[in-house]
Amino acid sequence: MAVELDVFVGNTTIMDEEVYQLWLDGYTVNDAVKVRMVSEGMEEYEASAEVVMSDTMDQYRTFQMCERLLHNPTKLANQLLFQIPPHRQAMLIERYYTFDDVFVREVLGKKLSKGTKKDLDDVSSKTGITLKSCRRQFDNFKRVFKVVEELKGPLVENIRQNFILSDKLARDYAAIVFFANNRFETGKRKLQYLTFQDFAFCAGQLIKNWTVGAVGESVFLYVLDNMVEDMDVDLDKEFLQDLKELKILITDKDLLDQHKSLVCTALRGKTKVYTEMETNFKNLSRGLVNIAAKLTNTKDVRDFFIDLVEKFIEPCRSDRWASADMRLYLTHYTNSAHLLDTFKYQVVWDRYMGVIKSCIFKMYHD
Amino acid sequence: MPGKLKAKIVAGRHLPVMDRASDLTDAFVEVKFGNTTFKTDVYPKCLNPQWNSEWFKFEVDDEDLQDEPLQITVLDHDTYSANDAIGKVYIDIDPLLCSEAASVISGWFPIYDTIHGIRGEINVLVKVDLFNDLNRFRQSSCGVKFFCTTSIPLCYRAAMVHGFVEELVVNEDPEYQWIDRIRTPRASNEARQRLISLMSGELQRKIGLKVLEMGGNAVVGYLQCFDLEGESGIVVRAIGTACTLDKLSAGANANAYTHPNTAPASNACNSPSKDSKEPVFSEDPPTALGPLTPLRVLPSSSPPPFSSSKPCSRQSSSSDTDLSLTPKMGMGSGGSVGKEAGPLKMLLRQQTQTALEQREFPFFTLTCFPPGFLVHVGGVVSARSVKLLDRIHNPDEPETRDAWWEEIRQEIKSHAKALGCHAVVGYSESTSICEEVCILSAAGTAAILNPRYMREGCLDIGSGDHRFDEPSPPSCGFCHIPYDELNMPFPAQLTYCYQCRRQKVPDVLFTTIDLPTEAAVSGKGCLIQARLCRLKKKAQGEVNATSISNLLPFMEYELHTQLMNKLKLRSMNALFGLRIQISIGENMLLGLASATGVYLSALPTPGGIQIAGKASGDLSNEQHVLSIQKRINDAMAKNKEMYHINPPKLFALDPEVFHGINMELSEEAAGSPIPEPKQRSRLFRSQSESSDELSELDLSHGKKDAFVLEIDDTDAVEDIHSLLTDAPPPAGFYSCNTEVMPGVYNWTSGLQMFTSVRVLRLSNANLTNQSLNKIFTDMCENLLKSLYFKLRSMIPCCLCHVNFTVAVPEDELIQVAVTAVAMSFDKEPILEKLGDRAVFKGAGENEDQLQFPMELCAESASVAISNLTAKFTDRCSTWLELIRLKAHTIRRGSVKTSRRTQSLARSVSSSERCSPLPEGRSRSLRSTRSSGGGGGGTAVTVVKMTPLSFLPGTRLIKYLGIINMFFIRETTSLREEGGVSGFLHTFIAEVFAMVRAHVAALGGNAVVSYSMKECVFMENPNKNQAQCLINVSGDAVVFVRDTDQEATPTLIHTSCGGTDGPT
Repeated sequence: MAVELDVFVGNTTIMDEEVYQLWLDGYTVNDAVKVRMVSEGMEEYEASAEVVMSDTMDQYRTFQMCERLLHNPTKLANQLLFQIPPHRQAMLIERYYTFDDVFVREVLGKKLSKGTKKDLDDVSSKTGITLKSCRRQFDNFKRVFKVVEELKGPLVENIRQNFILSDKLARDYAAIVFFANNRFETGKRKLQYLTFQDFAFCAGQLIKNWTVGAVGESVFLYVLDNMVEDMDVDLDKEFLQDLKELKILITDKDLLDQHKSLVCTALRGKTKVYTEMETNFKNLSRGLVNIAAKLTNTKDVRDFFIDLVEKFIEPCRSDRWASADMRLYLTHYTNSAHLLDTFKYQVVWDRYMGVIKSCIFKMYHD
Repeated sequence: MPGKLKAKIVAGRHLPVMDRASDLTDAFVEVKFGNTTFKTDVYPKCLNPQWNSEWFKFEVDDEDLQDEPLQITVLDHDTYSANDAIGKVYIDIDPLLCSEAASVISGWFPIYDTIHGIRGEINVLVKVDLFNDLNRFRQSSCGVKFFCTTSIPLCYRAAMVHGFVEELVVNEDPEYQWIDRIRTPRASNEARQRLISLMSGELQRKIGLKVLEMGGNAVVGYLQCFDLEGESGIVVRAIGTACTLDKLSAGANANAYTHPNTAPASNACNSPSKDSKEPVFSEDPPTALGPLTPLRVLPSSSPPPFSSSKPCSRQSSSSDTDLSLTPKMGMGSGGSVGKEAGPLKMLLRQQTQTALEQREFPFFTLTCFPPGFLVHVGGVVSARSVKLLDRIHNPDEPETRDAWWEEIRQEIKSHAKALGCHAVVGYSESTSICEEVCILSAAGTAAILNPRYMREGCLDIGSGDHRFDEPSPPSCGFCHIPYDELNMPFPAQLTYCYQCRRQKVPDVLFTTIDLPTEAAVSGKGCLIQARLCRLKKKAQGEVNATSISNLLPFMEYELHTQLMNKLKLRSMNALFGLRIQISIGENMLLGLASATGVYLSALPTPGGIQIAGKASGDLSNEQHVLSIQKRINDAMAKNKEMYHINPPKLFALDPEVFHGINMELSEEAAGSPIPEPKQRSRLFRSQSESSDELSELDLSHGKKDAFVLEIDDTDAVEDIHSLLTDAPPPAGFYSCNTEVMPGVYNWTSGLQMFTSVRVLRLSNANLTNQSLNKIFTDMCENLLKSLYFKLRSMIPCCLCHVNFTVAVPEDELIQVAVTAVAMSFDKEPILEKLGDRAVFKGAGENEDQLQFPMELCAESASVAISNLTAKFTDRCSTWLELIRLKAHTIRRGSVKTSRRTQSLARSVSSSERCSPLPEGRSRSLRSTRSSGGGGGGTAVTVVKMTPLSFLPGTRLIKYLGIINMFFIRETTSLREEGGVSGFLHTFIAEVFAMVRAHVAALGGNAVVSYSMKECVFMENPNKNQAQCLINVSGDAVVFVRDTDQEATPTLIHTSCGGTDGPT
């Protein structure tokens, strides 16, 4: 005697959020039943394992049938097969595209290729996230990447419209796409202390200020002109080229000294680590300007974050600068450059330092 | 050539990739109607093609319009090889033929393929221009409205109920034709779908013709079924109730649309007959009807309409049993003519009654009636017959099948007669087929009806009613026995009605109808099921038929006993919505009886269940008996509490009654006190053998007392077991198989319709009847448990219209399918509710106080007269009734006050739910339709589905036509589609989606009276194949929320053609 067939179909598709999460987390039906049996509120319904099993199977089947639609969320809204209230649709999509920060940290900046996908079992065992869930998350990244790769216009907006995600999630995906496209190195041990949110913030800054789409005030002009493809995904080449000119700040001895004295004057008496700042000024300045100058090389772009950490954050940290000190220093460092008479690249400098400043602020923690 | 059908193909979306190389599709569309086909251009390389075609015009007979579906095929163009079909859409254009229904079909339809399921969607526009007066064409019956709903549809009033209509058509099953060997499964499935669609169109047209002939304009309670007889063909048959319906227009205040059950009606116990009344039938007619002349009221001057509107003159075939009772009736009423006052009334009654008698089948498929329609209810009548199928030789002369049903209907009719009833309500028919054996079943409830509704012009009577009609009959009236106390058709235990104390009632009442709205009920109801499995030897042909025939009576008996025991265990005394299904398999028979148990205040408190041990006096055995007895008593007490059954103490001082019943039991141990409905099964071994082979089963003749269970009997152990293993629904859940749950009124708008299917494979081991029973019972119980669990988020909630169907698809398989709706309700919003009650109670009491004395004197008069007359007639119940009528008439003449207070009370209650819509404004609601039709909208219309005839918290403002769809799905890659469960899950979801799409395209936003009539599932896992057939039906409607003052935004005005006034 065995149940050969067991289905339940509602006119409004019934989806239990708890089971959905278990499914997304890659639990097998049996494991999900075990989890559900001990979860709260089950005694109330005197639910036997059989009943929970039947329900779980049903829900899993529904999710599997829905998965095809979730791959193309815009379809979910006008498909006819499942009658799902709009707010539930939004929940389904949002949850499906939600990822684990631990997981994304592992693949951030990696090429979203078959090779990476093959290594997912390592990621799975390292993070404790089931392989199934890893694959879903990875496939989501890849899918979003593929879709927006070919689209023109602002990245975040494209993601939000094509995948009907919340603003927050769309921004996170933009970061992931941006990292994957530019292949930023994030896996080195020195970068391990950084969370995905740190990187996502930096990515946001880079997209906003350093990409083609960022030039000029109105991004939409470009959309209308249809001039540039991938405007939010690639860094502005012209700008990177211009960054080379900043080298004068460290190569011109006068300029360097002048800059230092301006900064030191401004800082004196305002911080406990003044001495360290003064002694390190040249080193730090060289570090930052060199990063700028090298960004024309793709290889160096990839090392952007590691360079920031090695060349700036680590020295400061070893000198025990507080966050406030860091802010103070960078503010004056940036502003003082404007007072240098012979320094002509004010605009490029601002565009560069604006991002560097906010990235370092974000990244400067334990 | 009276019709022009126009179709336009707008666009497609989400099409499947048909060309692997480009990952795109070159789609075009063929539009076919009858033998004419049009094609669109090919829209190359696109998955979302925009054809925007011209209007394709088909000039056709309206007969074809009724029969044929519009067939839309989407194909992928291929230059070098044959074009590949993507899928099809069949559109039933019937709703467009009725001016009151939809005027355009427009929307996105899923493109369906029988092998691949839904593959994208297509946007289509369909219109029909009908040229001239429809009634001139005799072969067509355009304009006759069909409703699956088994009550008078909510925005109509019944001007007249004509009665039973039936028809069947037969054809060869394409699946069994020789050509099937060489064609693809797809072609075969499509041929079948198309054929069945054609057949149901034809059937509907033919029924429509009968309705027109009878002078009606609508069929209510339309029930259409398919019998897939395999080799011998397909039978499509339908029954229904012909009516003349008037659309509620001018006086259509919001009130009229509100289902009585959705209104926060008073507790039925308080003042049942007055305020929970369905306003459509309210005695106070809408003021708009005022000007109509009340004079046509005098019906005695006009001939009874039945004779004129009788369908086909089949009179000759009506059985001789008719005659035996008719004269008696005549005598009864004839005697009364001599009395003064109200001879008209009596004449009327007599005439209509005899008119009903004359009618071939006084059957009604309705289950829910206007108050006052149902006078008395006798009990369930049912008949079954086992037939051997043979090939239908001539599809144009489906005589054998007709004759079979005729036989059964005659039987039902005579059973009803035996119960002293002249009509059968809640009537339905069904079949179960296994190989070449077929069980035909019919069941209904014998009843006496108020003839008022069966007369021409009763609409007008509405306005004259005040003077003529009796005040609404007592709410307990339907419980009173219709048969003659002195000449009872079966032994029954009668007591005086616990409510009015005037007439006799049986101690248990079984019916197939819904609980009348006016019935006074104590506590809540509950779903009661009796389940049974019986093994049978495999056999062929006549031997098989014989063995099945022999088993049937035992099954009926046992199911009945189980029902009775379970009813007692719940301390209830009446069953509504009883449905007994018996399914045959090769080696077993399955029986499933479902009903909703309630405690009717008018009936006596049910007695206990006594366990009797072996006579041996063994101590341990006695102990055992005692412990079981205790468990049963505990269970009963618990149930009483759970279902809030607190009958008025006056009548039911529990211990006493208990005692009394026990005494009665002992007294009647020798007799047969099972007061049950006449239930006989007449079994024919084959169609050739006739009445001499008839074996009659009278369930009441058993020696065994139904209430005493003997423990040493293995069967009884089983019974007790099944009695005690039925788990009650978890807290917060109620369930019933009727339209609504007695005792629950404050529904919210939250509802969830669902279908659940389970198939169990029995292990090969030697199964006994007992173990099989247990397996089957557990299966049903577990299914219910699963449902409760699944729907737990809706608590407090009630599963309504729980409809189980069982089948034995293969040797070792048992299939159970359930369709029901879960509706949540407010958990007694204490303050408000209390306030409400107080008001109602106040009104009710007020009324009672005023009325009681009058009633008393009226009664004393009637009693006095009846005492006199009782001697002279043997039909004293009829007499009593008649005299009571007269007494009331007298009273009305002399005492005006009671009437006034009554209407006052009523207006209080009705103002509760009617929004004060001025007349003129609501008139604009007439024949309107929300134009959700644009179709191109991005959002998908939400379409609600429910097996009930109403949606809580809403008003139905329009019926758009019947939905009747048949789908086949087949797969040759079962594993890849997620196994049998995955396959069926997808298919059911697809069926829902297609129903919703059709409703939305008609401009509707809900389906009411939805049912899945067929779900035939076959599998062959070894071959990785499966096939499933599903037939669903329902009524497409437009509803608006109660809170919305005005109907949906855009209102398209359709001309209200004269379709309803034929002849």
